[in-house]
Amino acid sequence: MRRSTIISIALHVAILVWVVAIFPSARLDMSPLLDVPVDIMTPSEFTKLKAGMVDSKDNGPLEKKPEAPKPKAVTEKTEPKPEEKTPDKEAKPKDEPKPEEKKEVVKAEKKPAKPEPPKKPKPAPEAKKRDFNADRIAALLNKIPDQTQATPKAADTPPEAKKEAHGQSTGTEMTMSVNEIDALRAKIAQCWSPPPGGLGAEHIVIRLRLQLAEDGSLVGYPSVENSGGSGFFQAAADSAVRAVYQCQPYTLPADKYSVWRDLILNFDPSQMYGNG
Amino acid sequence: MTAKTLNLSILPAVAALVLCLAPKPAMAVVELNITQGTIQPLPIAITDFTADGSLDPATAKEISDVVSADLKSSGLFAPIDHAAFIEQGLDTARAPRFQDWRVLNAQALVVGRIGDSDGRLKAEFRLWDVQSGKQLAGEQFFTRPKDARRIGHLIADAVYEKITGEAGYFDTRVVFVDESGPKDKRVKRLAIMDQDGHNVRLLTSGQDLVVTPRFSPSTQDITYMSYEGENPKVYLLNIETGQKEVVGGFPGMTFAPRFSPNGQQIVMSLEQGGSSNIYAMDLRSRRTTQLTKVDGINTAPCYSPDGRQVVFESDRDGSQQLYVMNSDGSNQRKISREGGSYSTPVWSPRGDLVAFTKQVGGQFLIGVMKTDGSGERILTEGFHNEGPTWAPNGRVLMFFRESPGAAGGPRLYTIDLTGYNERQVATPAFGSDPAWSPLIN
Repeated sequence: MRRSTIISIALHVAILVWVVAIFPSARLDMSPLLDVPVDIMTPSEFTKLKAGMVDSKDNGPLEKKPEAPKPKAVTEKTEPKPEEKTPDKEAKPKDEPKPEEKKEVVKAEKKPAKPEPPKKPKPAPEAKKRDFNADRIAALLNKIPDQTQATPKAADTPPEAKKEAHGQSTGTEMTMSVNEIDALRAKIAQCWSPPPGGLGAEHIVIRLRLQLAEDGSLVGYPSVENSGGSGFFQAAADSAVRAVYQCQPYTLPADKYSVWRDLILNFDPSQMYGNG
Repeated sequence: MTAKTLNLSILPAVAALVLCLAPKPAMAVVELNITQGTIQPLPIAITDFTADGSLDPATAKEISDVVSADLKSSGLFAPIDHAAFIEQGLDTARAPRFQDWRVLNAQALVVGRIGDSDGRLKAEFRLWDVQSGKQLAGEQFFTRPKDARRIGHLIADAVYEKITGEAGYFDTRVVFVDESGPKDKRVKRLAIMDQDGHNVRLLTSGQDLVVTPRFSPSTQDITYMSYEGENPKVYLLNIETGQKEVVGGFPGMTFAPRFSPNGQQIVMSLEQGGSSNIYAMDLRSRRTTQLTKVDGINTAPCYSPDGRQVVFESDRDGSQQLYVMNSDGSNQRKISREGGSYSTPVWSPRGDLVAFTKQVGGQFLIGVMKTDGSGERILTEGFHNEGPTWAPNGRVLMFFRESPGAAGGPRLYTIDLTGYNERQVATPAFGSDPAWSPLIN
């Protein structure tokens, strides 16, 4: 009994020592490896990847070049029904706007054309305005030291702020490769034109959830999963939605459809304003 | 028994080990961070507005042309050529065929129409997001028929605000000094115009030299310096009534006036005994307070938007530099820190930046710095740039640039905070000393 206890204690200690001694070094080795592309690529794969990057514009005759949204959009999207109706509905109340009710001033007056558009929350944007930090866009904007910084390059800086998930939780091992992730990210970056250096821009992240069909086109409307009070948040959210619409269809590996059918994209413009 | 005990006692450790080694549970969906994009003007389609019934289609087109020109001038929008439009005759009554606009790569679409409402002009517009097919904005405006252009500015402001998230600045005016005649015999008259250079109206006759006009926050009054009488003095002028008065009963020359943000004070310089110092005058009580008491030239004062501080220029340490003090004159400190001499500081309406003229190496530059003097950036340079004034949203500056030579003269320019979007403002003659109004109303 005592002997077994001693053995037990000894084994416990050994395991603990092993854990303490081995794990920290193992962790240190592992964490930086997280986003390093280790896939073995064929030259053609590599060319395809480069075609999706902003800084490789000059070498891309490939058919997958992301900027060819013109003809394809026609066939895919039928007109969204709900919006089609709105103007007709609104046309009626708007036709009798009762101008007499409003102040008869010589200046032009404003009045919402329809009841729904939510009144812009005036106080909140005002408060935000003071947060504008032009220094964050300084590097981007400064004219004297560097003329070349107007368009920041995509895919230069791998994002580190938030944790990304490249796979799903259904128990399968299937994940998207770093190449596939980077190509998707670079493609969306090309379509995304955030409002330029807005108010409190450095604090804003737009969390957008979207579903994709197997052909890579959007299913339904992307939904903005978070919220912010300022007018700039809304403008940035609109720009993100425009980007994912404009970028479709997405060319992603068909065999991994179950992985990418449901996507969350965190649009974070702070690095654009901050690091230029 | 022994073996069993052994096994049982090891179990928790093994379990812990297994937990440590087990892969972390994955997230529900693929999640990506998009931290890069492109900065480019937004392609926007602005259709010719339509006119109801007896109204002149030219008026409707004028309004949509104003919207287009305003948005283009901001540098943030790229209006699409009408020749490329597929769907024609759109107005606010029906939904656009979005696929016709998607093939043009339009991101946003503006449609509108005008109508008559008991003798007044009614204009309405809708802003559509072409990609998602959603309506982003829709508003109606009523005005006198002769204010059609103003409706265009208001619609442009609404579109700008919706897309950028910031207030617009198109429905604003600018006072400036209109300069005509040969260089040695310039006639300088006060004038006011819309920010896009239209509707120029002269406010003074040109008999006396006038400089540095400044708007009050109410936009009805301006203050300026004029060389009437024996000494140049600061005057106050009501734009609507034309009523004019001298500000303060000072014995010497007064100059460089500017209103406080609440419009109740005027801060300016008074020259006495070879030195200039800064004074504030309360417009109701007419009481004056001396804010600086230093030998040398202390001038060009400008309040912060909260009215608590004043930025000004002073040569107390040799060269002309920028200083900030509390609005009671306490805590005066130098903020400019790079080489060269600085003048005409103007506090941004947002409160975050100070714009200035800087002279270095025979060049006159327009730049901005943070209010503690850090983060200096030069936006434009040239032979002679001077006198920046802020658009009310704090994103654009107007200034004047003098061209060299006998036939040369000053012209008005705008530049945005990026330093890339510089444009000349068309004025009938030469123009200098611009001052941007706050948003009207």
